[in-house]
Amino acid sequence: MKILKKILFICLFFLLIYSSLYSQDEEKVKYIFNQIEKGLNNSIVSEFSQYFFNDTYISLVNGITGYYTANQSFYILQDFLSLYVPFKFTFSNISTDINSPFVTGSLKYDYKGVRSTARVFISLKAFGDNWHITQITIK
Amino acid sequence: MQKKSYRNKIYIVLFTFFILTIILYKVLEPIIINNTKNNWDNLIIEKNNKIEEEVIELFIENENNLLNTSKEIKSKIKKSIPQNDIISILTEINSHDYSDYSVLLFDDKKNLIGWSKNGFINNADTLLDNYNFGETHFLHTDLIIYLSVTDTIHSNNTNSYLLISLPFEKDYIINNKYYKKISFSQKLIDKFHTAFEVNYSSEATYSNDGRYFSFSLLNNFKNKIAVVTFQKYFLDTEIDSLHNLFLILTSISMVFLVIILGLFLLKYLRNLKQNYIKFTFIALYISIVRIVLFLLGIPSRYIQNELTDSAYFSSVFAGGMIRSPLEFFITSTAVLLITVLAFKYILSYVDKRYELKNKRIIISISISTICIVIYFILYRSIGATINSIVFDSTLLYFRDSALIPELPNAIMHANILIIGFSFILFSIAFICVISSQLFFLPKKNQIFYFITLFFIIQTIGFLYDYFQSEPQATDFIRLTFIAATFVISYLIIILRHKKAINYIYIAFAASVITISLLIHYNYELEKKSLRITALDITRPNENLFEFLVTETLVNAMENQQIKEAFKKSNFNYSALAFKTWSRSGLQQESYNSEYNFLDKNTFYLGGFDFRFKEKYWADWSKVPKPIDTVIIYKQQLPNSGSKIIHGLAPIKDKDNLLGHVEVSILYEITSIGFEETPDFLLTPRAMMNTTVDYNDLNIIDFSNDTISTVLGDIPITVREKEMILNADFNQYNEAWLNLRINNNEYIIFILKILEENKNRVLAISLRQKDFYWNLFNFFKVFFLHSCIITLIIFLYLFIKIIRYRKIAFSFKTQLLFSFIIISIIPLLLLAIYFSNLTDVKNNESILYKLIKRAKNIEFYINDYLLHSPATQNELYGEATRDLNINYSVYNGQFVEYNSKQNFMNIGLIPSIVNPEAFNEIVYKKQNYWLTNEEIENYTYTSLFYNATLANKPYIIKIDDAFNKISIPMSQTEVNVFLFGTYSLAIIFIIILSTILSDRISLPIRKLTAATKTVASGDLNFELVLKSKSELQDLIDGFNLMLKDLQKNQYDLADMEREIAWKEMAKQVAHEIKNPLTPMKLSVQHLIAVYRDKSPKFDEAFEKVTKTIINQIETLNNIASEFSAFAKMPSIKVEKVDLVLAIREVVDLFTEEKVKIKFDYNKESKIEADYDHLKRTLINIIRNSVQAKADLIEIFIEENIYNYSLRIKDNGVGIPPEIINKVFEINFTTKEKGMGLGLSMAKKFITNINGKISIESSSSQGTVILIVLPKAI
Repeated sequence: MKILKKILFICLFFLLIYSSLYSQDEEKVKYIFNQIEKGLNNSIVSEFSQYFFNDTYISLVNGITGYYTANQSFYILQDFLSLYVPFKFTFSNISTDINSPFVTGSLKYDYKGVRSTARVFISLKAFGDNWHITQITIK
Repeated sequence: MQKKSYRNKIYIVLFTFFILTIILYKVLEPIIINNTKNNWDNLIIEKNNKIEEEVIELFIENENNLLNTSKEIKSKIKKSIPQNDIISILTEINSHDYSDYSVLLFDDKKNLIGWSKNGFINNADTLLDNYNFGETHFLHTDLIIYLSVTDTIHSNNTNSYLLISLPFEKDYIINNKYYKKISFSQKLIDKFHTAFEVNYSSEATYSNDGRYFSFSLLNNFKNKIAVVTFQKYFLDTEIDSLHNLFLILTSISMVFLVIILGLFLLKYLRNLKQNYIKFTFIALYISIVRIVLFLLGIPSRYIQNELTDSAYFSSVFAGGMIRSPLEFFITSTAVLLITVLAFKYILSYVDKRYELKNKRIIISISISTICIVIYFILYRSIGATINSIVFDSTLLYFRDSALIPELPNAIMHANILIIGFSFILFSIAFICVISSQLFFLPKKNQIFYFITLFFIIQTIGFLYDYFQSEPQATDFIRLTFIAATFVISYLIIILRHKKAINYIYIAFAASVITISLLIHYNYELEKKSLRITALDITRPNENLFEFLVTETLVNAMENQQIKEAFKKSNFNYSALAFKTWSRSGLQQESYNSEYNFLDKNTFYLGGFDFRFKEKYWADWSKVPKPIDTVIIYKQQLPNSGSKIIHGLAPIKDKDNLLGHVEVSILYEITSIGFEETPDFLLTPRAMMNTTVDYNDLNIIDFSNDTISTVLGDIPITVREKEMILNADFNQYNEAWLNLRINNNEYIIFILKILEENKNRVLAISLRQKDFYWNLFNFFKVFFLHSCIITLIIFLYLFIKIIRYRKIAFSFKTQLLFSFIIISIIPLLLLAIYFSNLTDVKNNESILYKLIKRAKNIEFYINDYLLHSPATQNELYGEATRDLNINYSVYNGQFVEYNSKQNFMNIGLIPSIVNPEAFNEIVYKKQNYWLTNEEIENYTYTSLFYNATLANKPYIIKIDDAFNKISIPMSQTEVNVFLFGTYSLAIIFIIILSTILSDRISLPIRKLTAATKTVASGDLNFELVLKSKSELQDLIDGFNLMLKDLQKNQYDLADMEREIAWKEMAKQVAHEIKNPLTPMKLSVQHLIAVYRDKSPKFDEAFEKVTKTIINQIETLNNIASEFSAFAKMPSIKVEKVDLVLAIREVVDLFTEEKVKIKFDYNKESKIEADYDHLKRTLINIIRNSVQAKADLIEIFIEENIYNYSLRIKDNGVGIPPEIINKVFEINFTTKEKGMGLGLSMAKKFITNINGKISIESSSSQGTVILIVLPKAI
């Protein structure tokens, strides 16, 4: 009985650790998504530019598609948001599954006086302890 | 002086003007904005009306072009119709002038007799009666809306019908470079910057939404044929535009202000004494200009194209001032200017060291150490810069095989050259500084120590790279860098080559080094491409597919065109599917996808698929209906890792179900290559925009350690498989491996992915390039750099011509250009010949391969018709499958079979034969016809073959759009290779020509220099030069002439001396006689008084002795003057510093009561006798002092070939009547003067080829002007 209790205790202990680690990751992911939402709403790329991966996939409604370094990604998005000025961005679906976290959303923007809506898909991936944005699609 | 003050006034006026404009803009802006706000209602009406007018004008322009074209064609073919001259009709209709139009000609029975090769319209014969003749209308086809007009041609009692159409609005988009944009509505959007929608129907209605404005388009018969609706401008948008306009105007004014300020301050900078202060100010100014331009957003804010697109290149270095190719260009140009200035000033410092020649060992060592450190920092920096250029860019510097690359690529190559030039120049400057520390040594020892320094720097360089974890360059690049900088420094420092050509050497050295670095990093980038390929393969996942499918279906649900389509019968759903697919994210992401229309019961109506090898039907029958929203269904294909995400959405009109749209995405690894997709439909996948050609990649996919998929032809053994699976993976589950497979070296990137229930390992491999490929890449870029350098040289020469109105090429330069031109012309002719030959051979190869395929088809069908029960139509499809050839068969004009029926159904390819081919084969009886055709802007080669199938004539068409025909070397590759390798030949030619022209012209140059020396008066030398040609006779003759001249000079000098002595003796006699006469008279008087024993004897004695003493004094003066004149020492002409001589002379007068001002500091070398020069200056200043001047100012003005020295005093001046005599011998205004001073000065100055004159003289003072030639 004692042994059983010990085994149960150990299992619970590891479960707790795993959950806390898991929830830590979840919290990190949620935080990054919040930063992205804030950045896109206010056209401030620097809110989330530190999470760009060195080969971030970017696909935008203006035709830009490809893998870009963190430097390029910053300027590409900055230029994009200065031309396609967002006036409202909302998430429609958030998945914090740490295996493949992603968000989808809707970005309403004004491009040279023409107002339109684009759908957004952003995914993250963990590299060691760090989470990075691996894909930004705005269509 | 007047010119300068006038210029200053202009600057001040301009400066004030631009300040005022800035103030004016600030004042006007709120006024205009307020006015806009207050009058917005009226303004918006005006704007709307203006837009309406302009749109109608644009439409009428197109309409008139169409009507004029119709008239032209009518008149040209009118005669050919009654003669039934089809050949002429087809030729005329397909003239290049009408290539933008679709032209159809029908006979009186509405049979098609003539057609153009572009834009065939199906069932056009049925449309002829729908419209009035001569009336323009919009004609809707599946993919394109045309502006058309139908007309009749009446001749010889028959009527023919002509339908001419101009493509007006394309209803689809293909995201690649071949897509031909035709969109009237897009033109309006781009022009007016607001949303536009054009409804090309006479029944279209106006918008009821107050935010929009609608108006009708009327045709030439004043009938409504379309309605244009646009979104009215928002006040906010208008205000933003006004803000931007004022910002632009203010920015322009600020830029001008900065430029004017710079020009204004430049003149003060010129007078600054210290070079380093001058340099600091100028460098600061250039930096400020650059920063100001950046802060004002010039040019990024105003130019929005690929040159300012960060996607091509961007770096966070310099705070964003190199965030795009154009910004980089501006910044690198600013850096270049600063570097060139710094180089100039460092060289002048080095020159001073050369003059001083002092031993200051400790200081020398300290300076050298600092310079070496900076030198290696520069070496590392150039590598880091090229690293950034390669990795922070999406430009493919070597993959693009075009000889002249596209603009962003070309600008980046220019940037590489400029920045490389700056680094090399700066590095050379520091080597020069280090070398200048050796100047205290004799020249022979200097060379020895210079070479020793070279080896020391090479050793330090080796150690520097050895101890770094990531050296920025290879050993070869380091060796080349150090060698190049040392060679050029040797030219400048040891050989004292101070010519503009040094910059050309530096430019070419920079080109070689930067290209070598580019190739080195490009290899690293190729490795990165393997990684990106792996990422791209593993990036898509179910979430992304679901997102894309959902996004596409949500858009479909809102699509009005789809709703209208479901209401029609006999509708081409396949075409609509293509159109909507083309506008969706599916095309941009280039995934294998399908877009289908289903009816209310989910039965298939039509669709379009992109790279779906077969139909994968989703079973929607089990889904409970009706559905209200998007449904997703995921299908796993058996026996493969492929997945399909299907989506279904209802299409409703209000609540009425009309039908369904189904979208599917298939993901499989073997779709990466796109071999089967025609280029005009290919949207580049992200990984395809990498350095390597995706077709060169080999991909192996392992699933649970077993090979599941292989793409490419690399065979791997078990051992190699084990090595891949057991590679050393890092924390990101990535590994690199180098393997030798089949005698080829491969670099392999391996990625481990943990997927649900399986371990997946993806290995992407690339064969490493041979050395000659790197050489090929090198010359491609080197050619471009050479063009840029040549352009700059021409620009420099052009400016020189403009400035000096003449340009003189030396004999050596003329020889050099002659050799180069003579050598390059045959080389170029040869290159053009080989290029054309390759073109011919390629065409022959393509023709052969296409004919072979056509014959195979013919044989196959005829053979199977004889031996199998299959019908001809069935055999068409089987031939495609069995022979793997895509082809078309035409029975007469129209197609009977096409392997790519789906593209024909959509309307992308016409269902009628090429009219030229029809002409040639049917009427001119050719066996085949090879021609170029176009889909969009994609050109491909088509063969039309005169075939006989089942004993009937047909035309078989085979092209290289749907059949991959390989050729040994494409035309572009040949051109690049030829011109690349010929660049090497040209370099050798230039080097050889330089050496030859130098050798041939050397005797002429030496003769020229000798002649100049003789002209300057120096005859004491002999030209020693050995030549084995007629030049030796010339040299001997010259030396003989020189000896004769010398002898004559001596004889002349003797004669002159004799004359001079005679003259002087005469002068002496004359001068001596003058005082002797009064002396004699006085003595005679004294004798007379003494003899007379006059009481006035004492008085007389006093007077006479006084007279005699005075006259003796006079005689003494005469003797002194003549003595001074006689004692003139021989002149020793050498290079002397005029400024130094003046300073020494000025110092002599410090104790006198005269103030002498002299502020000129720049070294001014002339050729003169130093002591004589000083004596002359002393003489002139002494004259000024004697003319009661208390202020003497000395000015030096440097001209191109001489110095103008002005000595200005505030003395009593020279009376005008004697100004012309002051330089004559014996002329003097002084009581006790001999009048020799100025004449001696003039003689001396004339002897050194100068001039002296009285520039001005008045009671306020005198200005003496002395012009002295610069030392050569």
